[in-house]
Amino acid sequence: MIEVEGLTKRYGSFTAVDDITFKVEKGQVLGFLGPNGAGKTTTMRILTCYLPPTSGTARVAGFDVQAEPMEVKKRIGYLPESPPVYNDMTVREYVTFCAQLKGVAAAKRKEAVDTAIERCGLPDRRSQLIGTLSKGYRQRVGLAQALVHDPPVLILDEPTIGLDPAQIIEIRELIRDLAGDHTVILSTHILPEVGITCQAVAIIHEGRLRLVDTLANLSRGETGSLEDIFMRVITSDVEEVATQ
Amino acid sequence: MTNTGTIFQKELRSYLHSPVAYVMTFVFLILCGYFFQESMNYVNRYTREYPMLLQQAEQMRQYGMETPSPPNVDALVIQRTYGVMGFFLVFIMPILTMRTFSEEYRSGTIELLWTSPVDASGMLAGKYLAALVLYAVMLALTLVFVGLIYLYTDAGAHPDPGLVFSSYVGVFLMGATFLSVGIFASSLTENQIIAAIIAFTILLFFLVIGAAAGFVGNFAASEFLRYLSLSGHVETFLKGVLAAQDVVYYVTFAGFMLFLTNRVLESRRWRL
Repeated sequence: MIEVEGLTKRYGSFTAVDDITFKVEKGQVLGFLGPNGAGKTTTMRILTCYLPPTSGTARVAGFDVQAEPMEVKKRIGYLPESPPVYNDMTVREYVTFCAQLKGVAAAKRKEAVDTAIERCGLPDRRSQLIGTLSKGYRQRVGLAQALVHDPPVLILDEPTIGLDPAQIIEIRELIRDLAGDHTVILSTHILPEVGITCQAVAIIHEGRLRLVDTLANLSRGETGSLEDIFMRVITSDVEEVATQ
Repeated sequence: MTNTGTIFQKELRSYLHSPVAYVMTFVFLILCGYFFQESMNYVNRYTREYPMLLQQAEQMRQYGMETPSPPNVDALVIQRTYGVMGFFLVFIMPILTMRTFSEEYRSGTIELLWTSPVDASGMLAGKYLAALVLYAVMLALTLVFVGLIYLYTDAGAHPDPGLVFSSYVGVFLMGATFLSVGIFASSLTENQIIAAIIAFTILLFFLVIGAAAGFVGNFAASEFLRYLSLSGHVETFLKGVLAAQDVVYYVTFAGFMLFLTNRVLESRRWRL
């Protein structure tokens, strides 16, 4: 469903994403891990056609992000790091606007909006102005926006950030529900979250992909817990330098 | 162009929900209204004094005094009131349009737009059309002036409907150009104040070069400057003339600004 090959993004002399290659199968949930500034957001932005890559290719749902961005955009739902909401709209107005923007047919729009609001636990807030919502609710509105057109591919940049523990559990359930008919990439700092919601994991550090594997494979090997793997992967540089 | 209608609705909605549009419409109407009532008063006074002025001129003819022109609503009210509108719009349009793109950049909603199936031209067209509609409504409110003139002048002294029409066409085209400049400035920065200042500077520049034309010695250069100036072209409309060259000037100017905006939008993504 998502095929990334040799993807590189440079900002001037700074290389944010360096030659990464991975694949996500249909219906899979991929957890994207990495320290801050590792290039997770940049990769996601390239996959959503927000940024053009410097080199390499990415195909989402069979369409190249550079050659056919419109086709890709129709098939993705994207939740950026900070939810892209209009503070002067009510939840309902905003989700309806997003549905319209993403090409949900007028006849199905009301239903799609209601479903998305329902799924993200927003029914009691539907006529509240987004500007007056708390961070957690804004995050949910952002999620509703990504889900409203029921896209086959979802790209979620830290979907559980700013949520309280109960909300985190709800959102995890939601993501688990989505797996199967939806292909999901989500980035996170919270390692246990990956174990709960994802089938595969990719660890990115300093722009380079350090590890891609399914969780099943990882737990079969003698590699220890995800924390151990993560720490080993991101500190390997230091060790390499030390041994040289 | 995709999704122009969706963006258009959203923009119009946000104009209607923000105080800026109301405040600016209010300011515009108050300022124009003041000039309108001033010119009405002047016409009134002038009409009353006219027989006396005429008599005076009759007596002084041998000393070379010219006959004063008869009171005329077209020249004294319409041309004056609609002539100053352009000047007010230089201040009002940048404020009306400053949030167009700056706000999207600042709040991060541009990320939503760029990752949805909408292209730069569709987005731009939607936003520009919404601003045009708002401006058209604002301008339509000034029709009250025309109504008042009809109400308070004698049948013979009514303004020329043709002149009223061409004045509206002229002022609308000029304002539409100003809007395109404001939207262009807004696409450059995420700071609304800076966007307004850039737009204001560009507009003032194109207004001032008309005045500067008078000081340029070279005839061709001076004509060129006069042709470029934003304010000069509306004068033909205010004389009741719909000249193709002036329509072409405004449409080209606005088109060029929108083209630049489109380029800025596309190129910003490569520089992010």
